[in-house]
Amino acid sequence: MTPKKGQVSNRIRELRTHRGWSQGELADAVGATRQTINAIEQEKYAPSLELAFRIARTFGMGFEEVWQFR
Amino acid sequence: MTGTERYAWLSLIAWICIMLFLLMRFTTGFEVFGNSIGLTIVEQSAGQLLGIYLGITIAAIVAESVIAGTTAAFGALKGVQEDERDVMISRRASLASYWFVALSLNLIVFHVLASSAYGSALVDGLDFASNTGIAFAILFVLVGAEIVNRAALVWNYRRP
Repeated sequence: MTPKKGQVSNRIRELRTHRGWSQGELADAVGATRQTINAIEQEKYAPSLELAFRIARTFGMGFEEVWQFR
Repeated sequence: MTGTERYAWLSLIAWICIMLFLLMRFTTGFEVFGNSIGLTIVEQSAGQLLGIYLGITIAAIVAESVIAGTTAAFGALKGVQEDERDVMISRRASLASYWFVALSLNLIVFHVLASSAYGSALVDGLDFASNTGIAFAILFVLVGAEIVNRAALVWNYRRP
């Protein structure tokens, strides 16, 4: 999905599948539901800063390597 | 489907059933499944009004308790059941039901005042001046607010 201007986009699906994790596994690791991870991947839901940082940390990456603002 | 979403669906069905019961007991107009529903309020005795009120209250408490208990027990077997997105959706649903209550009360007040100003009910048969009319209006707004809340929950979970 091409993000609209002013929208937060992310590389979660790419990073998650690269590691062979399911949405449920990532959800459990960051303390969210699988549905929320799905909504974030589809860019239907922009998470709080805290959850966004937690996801980036779970991947062992910096914030801006996971999240982009256009 | 998260536990909160499952609860919203079941609770929505329960509150629609309660609304149908309310309309069947208080109104008449046209036939639906052998019961009369419409825009004309049927006058009830004080005893009947109390019975309907208690019936609806008990039905709502039992339905909500069973649904909340069942979804909680089902969810306990899985991982995280509620997170920040659920809380955000819940806030949006509360806002939607608030606006429903505000709009409904304004319409009722306008109807009562305009009806008394013109000497007859604006909508024929919809008279809120009696005990039955007052009880119906209040119960309709309360039950309607719950339906709007659950429908807003479901819509926010399912919207594209």
